[in-house]
Amino acid sequence: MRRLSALALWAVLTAACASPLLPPPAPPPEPAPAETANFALEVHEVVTTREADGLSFTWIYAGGKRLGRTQPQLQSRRQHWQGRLAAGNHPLRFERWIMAGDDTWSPAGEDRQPPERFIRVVEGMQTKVQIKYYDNGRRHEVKINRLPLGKLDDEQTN
Amino acid sequence: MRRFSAAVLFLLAAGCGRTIEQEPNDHFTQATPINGKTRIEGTLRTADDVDMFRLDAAEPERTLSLHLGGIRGVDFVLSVLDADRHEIKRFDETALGGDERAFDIGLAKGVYYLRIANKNPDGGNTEQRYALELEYAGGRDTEREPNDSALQANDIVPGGVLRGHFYPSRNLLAAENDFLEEDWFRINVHKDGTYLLNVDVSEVPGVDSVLELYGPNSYKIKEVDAGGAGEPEVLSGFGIRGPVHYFLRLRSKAKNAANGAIPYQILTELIPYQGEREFESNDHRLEATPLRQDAIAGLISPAGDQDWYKIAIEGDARTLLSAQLSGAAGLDLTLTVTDEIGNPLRVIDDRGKEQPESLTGLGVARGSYYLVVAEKTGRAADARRGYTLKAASIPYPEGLEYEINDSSAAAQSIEMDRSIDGYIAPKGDQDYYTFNVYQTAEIAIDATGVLNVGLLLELYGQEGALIAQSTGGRSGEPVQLIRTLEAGTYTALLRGASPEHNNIRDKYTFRVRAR
Repeated sequence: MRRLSALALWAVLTAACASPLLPPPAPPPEPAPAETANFALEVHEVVTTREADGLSFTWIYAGGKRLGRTQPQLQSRRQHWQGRLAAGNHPLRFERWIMAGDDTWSPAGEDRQPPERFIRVVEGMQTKVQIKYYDNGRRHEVKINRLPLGKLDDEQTN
Repeated sequence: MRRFSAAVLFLLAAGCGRTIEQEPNDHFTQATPINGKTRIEGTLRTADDVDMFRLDAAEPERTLSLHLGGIRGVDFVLSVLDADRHEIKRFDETALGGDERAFDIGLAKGVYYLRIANKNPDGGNTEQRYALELEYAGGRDTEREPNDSALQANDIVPGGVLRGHFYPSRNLLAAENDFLEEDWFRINVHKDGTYLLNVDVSEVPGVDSVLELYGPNSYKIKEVDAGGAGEPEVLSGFGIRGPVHYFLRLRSKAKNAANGAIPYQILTELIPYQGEREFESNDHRLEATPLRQDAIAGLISPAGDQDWYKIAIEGDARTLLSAQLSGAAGLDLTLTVTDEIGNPLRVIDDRGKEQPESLTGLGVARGSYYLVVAEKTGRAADARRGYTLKAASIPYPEGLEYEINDSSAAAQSIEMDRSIDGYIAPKGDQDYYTFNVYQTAEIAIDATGVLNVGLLLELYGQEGALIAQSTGGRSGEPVQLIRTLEAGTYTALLRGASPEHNNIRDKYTFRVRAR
């Protein structure tokens, strides 16, 4: 009985320690094939010094459900994710994760995350969301563009 | 008998103080000695006659003033020469028959020459003697001419009064400087530490004085010219980090203005700096006075003065910065908040002359910010009556507006059935709020009334199109919009119906509810 309790405690502790700070579950979902993607996210940050340019990635949520994430990249580099969403108005949340100095991942503070917002995906169009962080990640701006299908891929390859 | 003895003594004493020139004395080698004399008499027999007098100054730090009484047919030029016969000062203020005066000639131990000449080509007077009167004084509390350049500056020990003259009207030996007469002083601070320097130049009738402050590298740091003719000038609260020396340059604004009858007085004081006052010169971002206490006092002087104060925000938490600027007598003050490189974030100019200004709460985060106090017109100043600036930063409490939310891109998020308190301030303030509706519902958006503000509420859809707008009617009344909205993200704009409407005292409460 005592051995069982110890095992149970160990299992609980390891599970508790492992959950929030580990890198996100790997591997990430494959991006949708270019011909079917109608939604693209591009994220980057304006950093002022090389030292401030750490690794980050962004989870994409729709209605509270994880759709995928960008590849970890230096914050100054443009991170991309694309996928297919049904036409309609979706509550989307973009959750930013930062690698800390001790090589652990954690989400950026709540006041440094863009609030959830609805983004409309239109049939026959591709929706591109661009998020730019600046002022040490304290501020951000969101741009939403819609282009006819196919244009999105052309733009990303340019 | 006793009366007779006194008369003899008086005559003897008078004889000791008086001398008559001994011709020929046209050359320094023939100069008439005048040591200890207070009155010299002589004649200029021909137009080109020159009289030279030799003075052996035995004591250091004395000053000499001269009065040469005018005589018929002669236009005097009075000069003072050093031991090498280098002319150090020349006086020629009057025309034919006029008196000439000289003030505050600084004497060190050594030989000096006085030269009296005539400028009138038809001049000369064989019948009438001239009289030159000499007056000596201790030199520590008076200027010591020549002090017409930084190199010749007189030392000032802060904490005392020094007297001098705006005289002569022109420096006749400074042709390269447009004959400008100026007085230079050097302020030496020998001790380590930070100090505030105050300099007060008294008023002199007929003279509009200008006081300038130069750094050790001869760079002009400050010019004070707030007063007009016959008015004082004050440099107040100038910050100094010792040990160091600075130069003061004092001159008349108008060419040829002078006053030989009434001296100016320069009062200087050096006060250890304790952070309770501005640390001039703080006219630029890089010279900003650190704001380490809750309140600081400052002056707008001279006209066009800007006072920069630096606030450091520590920590990563969201913070609200607020500030109150008192009114200042005769001035219409403005308060500007800038980011760390001086870009304005907020310009507050809600009130008029002699009235306070308030920064009601600006969202800031770790970094440096600046508060800049200025006078609105740039033409008014007051060197004696100043302002008080109070500033505070507090952790951002949920439920308060987080400025800057002046655009849809910077809209503040609000959750359904929550409220946010905010200000319509400063003038022209616009507050954007964004919220999500997750299912079609009747949504009520309202804001409570604010005294002296007529509210205007606008609702925008997800793509930026205006859906509805409402005004609160009269000033002070609440405003409300009720609409059935589909799922989506919406933006509400709340502002004064007129850009002039603002209230720094009373907050509105903004709320979004599903019904």
